Amino acid sequence: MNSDAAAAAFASWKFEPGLVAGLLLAAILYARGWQRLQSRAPHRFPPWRLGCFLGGIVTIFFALTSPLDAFANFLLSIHMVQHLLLTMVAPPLLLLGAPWLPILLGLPRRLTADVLGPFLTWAPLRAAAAFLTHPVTAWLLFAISNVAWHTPPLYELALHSTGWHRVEHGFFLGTALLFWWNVILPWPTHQTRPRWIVIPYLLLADFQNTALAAFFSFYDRVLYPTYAAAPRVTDLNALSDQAAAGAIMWVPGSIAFLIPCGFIAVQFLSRKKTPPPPPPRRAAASGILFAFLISKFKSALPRLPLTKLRRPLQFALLLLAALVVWDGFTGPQVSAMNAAGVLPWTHWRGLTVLALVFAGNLFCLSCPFMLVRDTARRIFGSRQLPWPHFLRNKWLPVALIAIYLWAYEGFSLWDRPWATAALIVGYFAAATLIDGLFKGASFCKYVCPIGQFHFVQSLASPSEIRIREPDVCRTCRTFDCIKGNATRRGCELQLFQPKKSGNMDCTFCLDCVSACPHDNVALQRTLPASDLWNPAPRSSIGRWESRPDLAALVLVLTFGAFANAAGMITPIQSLAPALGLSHLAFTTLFIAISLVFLPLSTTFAAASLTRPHERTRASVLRTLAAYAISLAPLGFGMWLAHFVFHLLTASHTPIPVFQRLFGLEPDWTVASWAWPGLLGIELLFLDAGFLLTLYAAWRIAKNRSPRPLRAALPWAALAAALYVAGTWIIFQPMQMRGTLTP
Amino acid sequence: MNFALPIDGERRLPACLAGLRAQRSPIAFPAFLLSLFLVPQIAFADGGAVLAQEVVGACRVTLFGSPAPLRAGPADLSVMLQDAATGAPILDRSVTIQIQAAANPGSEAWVPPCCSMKTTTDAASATHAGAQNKLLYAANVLLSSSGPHEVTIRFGDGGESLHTQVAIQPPAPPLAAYWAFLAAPPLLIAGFALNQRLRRRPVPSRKRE
Repeated sequence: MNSDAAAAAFASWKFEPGLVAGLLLAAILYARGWQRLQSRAPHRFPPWRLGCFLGGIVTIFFALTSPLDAFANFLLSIHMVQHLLLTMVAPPLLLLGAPWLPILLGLPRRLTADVLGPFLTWAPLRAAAAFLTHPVTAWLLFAISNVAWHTPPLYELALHSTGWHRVEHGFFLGTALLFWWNVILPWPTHQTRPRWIVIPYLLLADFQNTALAAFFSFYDRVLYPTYAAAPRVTDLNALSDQAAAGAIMWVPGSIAFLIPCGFIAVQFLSRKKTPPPPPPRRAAASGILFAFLISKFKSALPRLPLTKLRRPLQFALLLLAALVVWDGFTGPQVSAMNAAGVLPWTHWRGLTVLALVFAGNLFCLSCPFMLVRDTARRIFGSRQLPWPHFLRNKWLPVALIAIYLWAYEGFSLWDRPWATAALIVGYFAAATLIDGLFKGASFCKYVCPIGQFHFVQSLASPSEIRIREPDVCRTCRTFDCIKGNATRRGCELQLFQPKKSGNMDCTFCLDCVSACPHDNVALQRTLPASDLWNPAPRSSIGRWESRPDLAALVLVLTFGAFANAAGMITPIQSLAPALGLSHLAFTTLFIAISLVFLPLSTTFAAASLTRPHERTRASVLRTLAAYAISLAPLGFGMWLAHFVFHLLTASHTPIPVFQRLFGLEPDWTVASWAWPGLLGIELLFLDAGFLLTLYAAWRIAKNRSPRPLRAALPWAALAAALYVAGTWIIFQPMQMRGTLTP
Repeated sequence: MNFALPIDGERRLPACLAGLRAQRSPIAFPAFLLSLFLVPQIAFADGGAVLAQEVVGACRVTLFGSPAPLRAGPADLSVMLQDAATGAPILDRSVTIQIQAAANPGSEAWVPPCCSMKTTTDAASATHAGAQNKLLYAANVLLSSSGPHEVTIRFGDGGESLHTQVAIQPPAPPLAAYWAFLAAPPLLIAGFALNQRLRRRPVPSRKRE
């Protein structure tokens, strides 16, 4: 192999985000737990344990992503090195880290106590664990796995299938962890058997390993057809390569067994009376440094200068909106060639929902429509009217959202740049007019359909703006967070921080953060969707059960998510000609059924079935309003699946549009981030939304019913029906909107 | 195996563990979400099974296909070029792979929706960037039908090419291809039900010593 080829070979690393994320997560969890334990029991968790565990993680990473993996299909000897790393190097290193307690402590406490705790004390599971880690079982599993996966049918299966290859690696790693468990006995495992049995345990394992290795070394035919057919990239022919693989298995494999065997033998022979455990010492300097770094990282996160970033973000989006409007009116009226056809419908929607799931309501934070509020107030003067009482609810945005969903499909808004531009201009005009004429943030709270979308979906976001310490608010007498002060305005959406809960109606404008003189209001992490089952009344919102308008908003957005995605799939699109209806007539019928008839009929039926199980017999409408909110995560999951699909399939479409806008020669043959795994991501979002909805319904039922399972069942059935519908929609052929291809 | 916390000489430890403040991690949840988002992996051609191997002029050409066997739907095709005499890999050629149905293809049932967008034409450019193994030239192609297909690999300026025929199997049904994602909710629901059942267990009273 010449130097270029060698360089190419060494550059053959694999980018495997799932594996990297998993290993990174394991390392983070271990490091968190180790840091806590190190400060309390430094003699049990010295720095070398951290080093061993991280060494094990790095070994797995190296085995599965380095050029070893790229050449595993070409050379059996390389493949053998990969397997030795997974069976002989990584497992002992991981176990030397005594990972049990650090990982349990590294997990969020609630997860450990409430979710894992009951399983950890479950007798059958403990019995299964005891059985699996029994020396005889562990030895047999390790040996059987080693021999079975080297038989030609199974080995070839793994070589030809990525999925089976992962299963094979899983078996190697899993059985090796069980095997080495008995050798290392990671703390706090008790030693319940004589230590000397580890010596025959290791020697017998070495014997089976040697027998298998000898077979590879001396067999005179190529065992695996794949290696016989593979092009030769070294001077070794297939048979020599097989013999080399045998030698690798034999020598380093035996060393891996014999070193601990010798160590334990010496330990056993020279053992005196067991010394008492050393007294706790002060944490090592490295532990203190580690704790310092972690604390710095933690404190840096909440101090992102969002209040300073907000205005520049708003101006940036305003400029982008101006560009979209200009191009929409003057550019080519082909959606994939126009900024108004590409940016709002594929990229803006996709990025905002991703921001909602990973951070929070970042769109409202940077909303350019809010920029016009102050301008409008200067134009219309300071004598503003109060927002009419009969409109102080969500019925108007519910109607606007329904109309928008109907118009989007009926008039193919996504395919009409001119209409998109007009819609944006209309939006700015409405925001200016309403916020100019009426007090407070009336447009955001009572009108804006985009805002309502973000309010509802952000109920499942991992962050919210809330107070830090309740005691500080109890002593506060100025209430700047809602009233404002001489320099800062308070919350114009009438959310009083001490009584605020969740993200409903919160635009993340950060006015309350700036206004609070005690620095007691901040953007903080929260358990996603936990506000859905909070029965307490919220500031300016009340209880969910007393707000049928909010229930309607959630329902129109949840059922709308499915209707909106269904509008682009072939089976639904082919219904119009089959029924002899025009596109507009069919869309009207479809929207009426999916946004009015189905939500009303199914939720009233569910509420009627739930009501007999309620602790206090509320009306059907109150029951419906209390439970309908639980459907929000499922709707969010569907919006995510839908918008992320468009975002990734049309990922590169803005490039030629900007080339055209800036006078360059546009190249319309764009690449795409579409790949088969994208469908898996869509299903994952839908799965997460479905499960969160089920959990929310169950928690609501627990608050309201002595028989929560029966009370939640109708809503679980409704969610399951929507989940099945969503899965079916995701599997259908879809229009590639925003692209030049059909 | 015994997962019980140690007792002798470690009396302080359980108390320390119990006394740990309930802290929420700033990184655990976003990291968990990120790992969920990234679980499905971006496909890179990794060779797969050898479909054809032939000496053309001074080159030995090996065609790989993944998945094995090739099925209608998205597929990775990779090519390795070697000096026929020395076996040294040839890395500086421009390679295109053209694949066409040999007979009248039947209409195939299903490919992942994202792949119904034809981002590649019948002739795909195979590059080292698209391959995990940088000795290979790889391209993602969409096989829209099953049955026998003609594959033409063009490499080099001299118009050298390799023609071969490969058999494409019918596509895997979607439920078989994505079963893990559909199995997750029922399994997690069953786990949750078991968790709730276990949490309602009566706590066994301790016997007095």
